[in-house]
Amino acid sequence: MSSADPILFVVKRARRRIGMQAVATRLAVVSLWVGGVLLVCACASKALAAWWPSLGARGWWFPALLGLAVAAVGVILFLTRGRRPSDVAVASIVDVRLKLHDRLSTAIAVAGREDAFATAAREDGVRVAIDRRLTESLGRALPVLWPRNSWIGPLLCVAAMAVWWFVPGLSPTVMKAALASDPELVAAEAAAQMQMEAVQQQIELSSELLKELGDMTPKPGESESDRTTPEGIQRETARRMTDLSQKLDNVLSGERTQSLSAMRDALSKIEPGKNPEVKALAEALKMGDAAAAQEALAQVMEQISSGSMDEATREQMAADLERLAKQIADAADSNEALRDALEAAGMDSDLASNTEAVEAALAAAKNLNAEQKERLRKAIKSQKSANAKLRKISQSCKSACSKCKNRGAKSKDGSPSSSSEDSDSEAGEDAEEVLSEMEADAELENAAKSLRSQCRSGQCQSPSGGGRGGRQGGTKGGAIAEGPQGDGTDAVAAEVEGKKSQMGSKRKGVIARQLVEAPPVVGESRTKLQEIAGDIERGYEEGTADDPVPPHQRDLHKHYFGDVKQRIDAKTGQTAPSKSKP
Amino acid sequence: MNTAEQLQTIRTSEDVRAACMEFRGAAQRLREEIGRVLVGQEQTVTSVLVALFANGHVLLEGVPGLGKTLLVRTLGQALGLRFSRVQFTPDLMPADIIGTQIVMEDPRTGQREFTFRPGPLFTQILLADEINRASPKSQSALLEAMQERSITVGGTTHTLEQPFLVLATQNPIEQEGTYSLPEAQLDRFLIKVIVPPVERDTLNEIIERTTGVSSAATEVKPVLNAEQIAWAQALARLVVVAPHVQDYAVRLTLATHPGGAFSPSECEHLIAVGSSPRGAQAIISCAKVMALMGGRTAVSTQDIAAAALPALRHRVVRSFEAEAGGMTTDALVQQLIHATPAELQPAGEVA
Repeated sequence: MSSADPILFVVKRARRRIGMQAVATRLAVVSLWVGGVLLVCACASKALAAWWPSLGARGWWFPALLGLAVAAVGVILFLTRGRRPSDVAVASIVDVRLKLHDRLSTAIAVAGREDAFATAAREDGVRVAIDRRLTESLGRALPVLWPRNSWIGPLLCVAAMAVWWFVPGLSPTVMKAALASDPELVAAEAAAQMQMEAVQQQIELSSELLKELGDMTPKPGESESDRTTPEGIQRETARRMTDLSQKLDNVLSGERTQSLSAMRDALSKIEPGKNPEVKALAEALKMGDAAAAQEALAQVMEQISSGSMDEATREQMAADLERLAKQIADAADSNEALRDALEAAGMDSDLASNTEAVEAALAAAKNLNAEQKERLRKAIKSQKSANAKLRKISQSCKSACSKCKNRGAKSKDGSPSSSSEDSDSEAGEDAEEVLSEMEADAELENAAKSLRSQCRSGQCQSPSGGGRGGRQGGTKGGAIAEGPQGDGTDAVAAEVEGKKSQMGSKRKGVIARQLVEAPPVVGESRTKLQEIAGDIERGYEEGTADDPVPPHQRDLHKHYFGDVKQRIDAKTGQTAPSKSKP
Repeated sequence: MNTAEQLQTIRTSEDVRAACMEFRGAAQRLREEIGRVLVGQEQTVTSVLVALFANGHVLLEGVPGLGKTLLVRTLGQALGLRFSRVQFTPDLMPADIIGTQIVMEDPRTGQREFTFRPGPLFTQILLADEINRASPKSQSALLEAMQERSITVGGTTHTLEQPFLVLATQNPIEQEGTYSLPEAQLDRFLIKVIVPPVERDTLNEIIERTTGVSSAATEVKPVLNAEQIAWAQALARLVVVAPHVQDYAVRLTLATHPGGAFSPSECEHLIAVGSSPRGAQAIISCAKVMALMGGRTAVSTQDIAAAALPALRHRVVRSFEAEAGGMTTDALVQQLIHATPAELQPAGEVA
């Protein structure tokens, strides 16, 4: 239709301008997003360069990302290009913008009609389309303008490139230097270092403990935990203290200390004889004082060797030594420690006399868990070790007894017996060796206990020396053992010690003992649940007291809160008090 | 030559333009003739003429003394049509409007028979003054006459003479003792015209004309007759409406339906009931007349927007929220017009 051609020409121009405007608008939006993403990537690469130095360099990846972004812009523009508007739609836009009373759009819309009114409408449209004023005003009516904030996207892109090109990446040395200048961090690091050094000194005081634990000083780069904040350093120190405490627990529950304990238990029932030297030996053994026992044994041997005793004294000494040897041998045979352990595990204590039977019973036992079985096996082992040592001491006593008797007979006969003297001296050496071991074990036990106490106090102690409130104060009450502590801690320890002694005098020392000696409570914390249980209960009571709940929902309300309370009580292991208040 | 024959002479675009000019001239003459008597109220007169040429009825609302009755009476005189005025009162009965059957005796034969005595409704321009003062029963008596342009009495249907135009007035104040028109009745009115208060210059001229020396009643000459009006009404129906322009009227009407696809979210809660399809018909009919009055042969979206307010203001029922917020129906319809884009959206073109 030739008459519509001027109209279509106008429509074509208008469509081109509308399309360009749409592209400009979308380009501005897309460039904003792309610029933002690029800037974030550039900043992130510089920040992450502390961990991945290659990101901080002017690598190939940023230009590649830039190219990818440009390609993405093209793809997004292509995908969001939208449907091509029809001629009527474009003409309608022109009509509305230029207030043409829909002459152009109507002329296109009625192009298929042949009646006089449609013809007149088309002619009206053509008349408008060929008007030169329309051509001039079309540019003003449909301007191609960049959106107002379109400069932001390119600016972000330029900023991203500037960051990538000019800003150096964060390096580990820079970060360390920055961290080193933080006074709080320096103080926390120094406190942690001091604490670890104090622990190490304590370990080095005992050669036995040093052999068991080795060097506990942290090596550079050993820890991967966060040491960039004071809290991180405190956490790391607390973790080390916990590790050390667990090692000390292992030492204290190990074979050496258990064996020592078994020996002490066995020797605690010895009755001293009348001979003063033997009596000293027996009392030292009874007290578990290995050093004193060693000394007393040496005196006994010297007394026997000297031959300065009269007959009655020698006979008395021989008789006492014989009785002592018998008591020790009986104690070894009694297996008292193993018996107690079996009883504690709910097994027949008579099995203690036959370790093979205990092993078989342990293998068949179904009511014991693996930990209990392991503990019993340790007890068997330590009991065996203790028994062997006790028998050696008993044998030494017997040897001393026979030597004493022989010395009496020799003095009567005047004939020497070199072979019996050799065996006696070997027996004496065995006893000395056992007592030396016993002394070393005792030293290990004392040092481990002391250090464990110090570690437990160190776990709760702030490296900066500042006190913490609440429960930590209670735990700090356990820090009554030896160890480097601040003045405040000493005062608290002294106070706790005083309270403990008071409680002890009232035979109610359980709380203090539990705070100091009880194993740490492990597992899921129930504190939060217990706290909110009270809130929930209070909320229910307040909700029902003012009666804001509709009557038909009151039962639902009640059952809901009652159910929640029961679940919390079940989880926290409490029995629900009927009228408990938080 | 009757109307149909006259329209058949319009064969070319030149004929269309000539007819269009003739229409425009007739409307202009009519407006001028009314303006000789009625001072000011140009917009009201134009709206009434639009309804006249669109063959619809008008509901005029305004406070007393604004010249509503004078307008209608002058219009009747200027058109050379028969004019009746009915003052609606609470005790008005339907028979008082429609007419009644009375027993008549033939003086020659002495035979008696029922004869229908037509009421004031049997006219061409009816002024239903203060229509909301009559009982609903009397208001309903107008329903058939307005819609079907016929009256059935005693089983006999009487066709009303064309053109038939009802111009009803109502007073927005003094609502005590009135019966608001039901929606079905309101829907019969093509447009509702709010008669605005007079302005300063207008009032001065009114005072000069009515209280001065030359205060004699101005004689109004008929400028159009019934045939010319019928021709103008038929011509208006021929005006072209492009599909996308018609769709704008449809979208506007559907925008009054709360929860509909075209209802603007900011207006949804303000409307209780939207317009019936008669609203869209009224918009298009009025827009066609407006296009002709503007000397154009096709309806534009501006015509639609201009026709929407008088055509929809009495067809939209405000919600309680809108009433409580003091939002008028006019403001609501204006908001709908503003929220509905006139240009054809590229994404939603008309098939």
